[in-house]
Amino acid sequence: MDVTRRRILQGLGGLLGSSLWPNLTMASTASQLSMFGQVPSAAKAQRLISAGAPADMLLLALAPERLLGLASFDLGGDYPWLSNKLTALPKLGRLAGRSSTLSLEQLLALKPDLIIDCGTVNDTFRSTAERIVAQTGIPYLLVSGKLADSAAQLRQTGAVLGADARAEQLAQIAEHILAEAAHFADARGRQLSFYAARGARGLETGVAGSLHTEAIELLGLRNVASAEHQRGLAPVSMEQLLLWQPDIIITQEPSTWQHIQTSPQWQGLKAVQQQQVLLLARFPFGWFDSPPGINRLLGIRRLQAYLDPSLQAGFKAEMQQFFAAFYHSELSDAHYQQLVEPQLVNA
Amino acid sequence: MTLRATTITLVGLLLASLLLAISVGKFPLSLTDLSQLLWGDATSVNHSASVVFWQIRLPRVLAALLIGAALAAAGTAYQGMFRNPLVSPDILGVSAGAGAGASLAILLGLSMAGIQLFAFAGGLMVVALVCVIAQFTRRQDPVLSLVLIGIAVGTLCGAFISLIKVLADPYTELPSITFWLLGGLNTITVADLSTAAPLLLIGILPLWLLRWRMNLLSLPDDEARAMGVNVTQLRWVLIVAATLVTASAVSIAGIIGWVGLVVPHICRIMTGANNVRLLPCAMAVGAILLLVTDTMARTISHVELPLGILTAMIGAPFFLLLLMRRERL
Repeated sequence: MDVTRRRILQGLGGLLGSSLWPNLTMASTASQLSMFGQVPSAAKAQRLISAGAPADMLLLALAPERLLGLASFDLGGDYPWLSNKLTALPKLGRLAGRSSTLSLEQLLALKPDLIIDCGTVNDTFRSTAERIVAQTGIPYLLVSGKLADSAAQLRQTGAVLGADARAEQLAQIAEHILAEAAHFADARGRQLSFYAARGARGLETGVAGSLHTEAIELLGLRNVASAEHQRGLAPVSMEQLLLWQPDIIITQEPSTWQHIQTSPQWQGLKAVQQQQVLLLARFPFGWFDSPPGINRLLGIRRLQAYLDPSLQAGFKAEMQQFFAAFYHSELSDAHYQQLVEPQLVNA
Repeated sequence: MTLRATTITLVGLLLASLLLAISVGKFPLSLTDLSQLLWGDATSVNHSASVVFWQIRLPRVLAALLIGAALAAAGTAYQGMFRNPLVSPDILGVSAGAGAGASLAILLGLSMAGIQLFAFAGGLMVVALVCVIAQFTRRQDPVLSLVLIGIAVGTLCGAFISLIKVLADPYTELPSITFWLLGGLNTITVADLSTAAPLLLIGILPLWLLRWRMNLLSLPDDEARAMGVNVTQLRWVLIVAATLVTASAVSIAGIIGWVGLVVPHICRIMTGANNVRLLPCAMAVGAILLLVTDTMARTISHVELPLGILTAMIGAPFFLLLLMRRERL
């Protein structure tokens, strides 16, 4: 089947006179993966390049020892809770068509066996992958990045890399978190509404259904910012926010949190009066966004533990387990405290 | 239309759009609530209605009014001064400088106050730089060289903004920079207004008082000099005032295009090119345009549309319509 497709594609390529794409093949093993070029056998996929931040998260979990560097994180800074395995990785830049910061020449100089990208799969990203394969000959694996499919992403990418055992362990954690979240959604989550505050004044937000709030919505919580035709970020007005009166406000930025606490405008929100403003500060991986990768699984669990008191006592152990499995790092009690209760300048 | 009729129409429209902007919004405030809040017994209105009105809607409406008037005044002054109808308040790079300052502040993760300060300082610094460079090009026509230097320095700032966008985190900082560059009044607070309003008024005052003399700048420099005007001095005063106005506006509202460019043209069609009448007319029309577009921005959908998009979407077709009608006359 594979072979016929390749023949057909090559035939088409020949018809179009496109000698640029001689080795292009395309086959997808299942719903999560799209492969471009000759994807190497697991044993030969030793030098990996991550194309963007979500792929960074996926590969840090599955095969950090084979990563040549990270696309978007410079972990060389002050992150004592991450193991040296991670912090030693250089930041190489991302591969994303026009907005690439890793040049193709640099890419070739790194001699990778496989490029892996994770996120939205549409024609833009498919054609980007095709072009890179055509220009460099390096095979490219595009992994669909929907959070609800995390387990399948992990298992299938793990299979390509020959890291099945590790992938299975991670996939089971992902399944557990997602199943528990679905359970919570039915039990309580749907009664709650939330607003995800971004920007210096908290007046930018991810619209319902966007990947910026996907993680929170998996717990059943209703995103107050719903706009029919929009799926990204949008500015909102304070007036609208006062009308929405979300039960919880969630932000990843300390400066946004600080502003919400101190600004008189925000005091009219019952979530602020009742101190339901949650700061989930990045470390540097975000809890429910930035990047929109499998790192968000931990955010789902943390938010559920916040909302369900019966889980609170066990969350520390779960987070330490998550760190061990996904970040190969031992999270000490002190560092746990630091990540969960970030130090803020008192206003 | 006679001058008197124009004045009455403009004042009427301005009051109408002001009333519209104050009474329309996502949060339901009835006219009774509004009159109670403004003139009556404020304690009879519930607390959140009073917060919405005093902390959120009124500062925003006043900001739209002031910024619209200020950008239109600055645009009028610049178009007259540079004898060029394509000139907008950004011509000397003030918006580009403010954009570069704000983008840098967002990249550095500064608070809103920091972003505003960087934007304001960036705008002023760029215009100062343009003026300093202009001192070294004395052999050229001073007006032309200012415009050319403004374009060159503005392009540099544009490149700097693009560089920051490339470096910014695509999930957090980049969207904030984009929203800032598109402009908007959704984050205006009383504090913003009380900082920016005095600066805006200080900048508008000389433009208003010198509007008759502004006419002389449309003459060649030697003719204006022959009439006893110190052209160079007048030009500097106007540049400083218009820059102050634009930098203050941009620092709290982001880059709002079109108002400063298109409003003076609309008014020139209405009142002619005499700045004595043109400037007040432009200020009124600028205020009306921004009041109406901002009211739309905050009411059309649950989430807002960036103001810069709306002003262009409304200003440009209206302008084209005027141009076409004018051709036929």
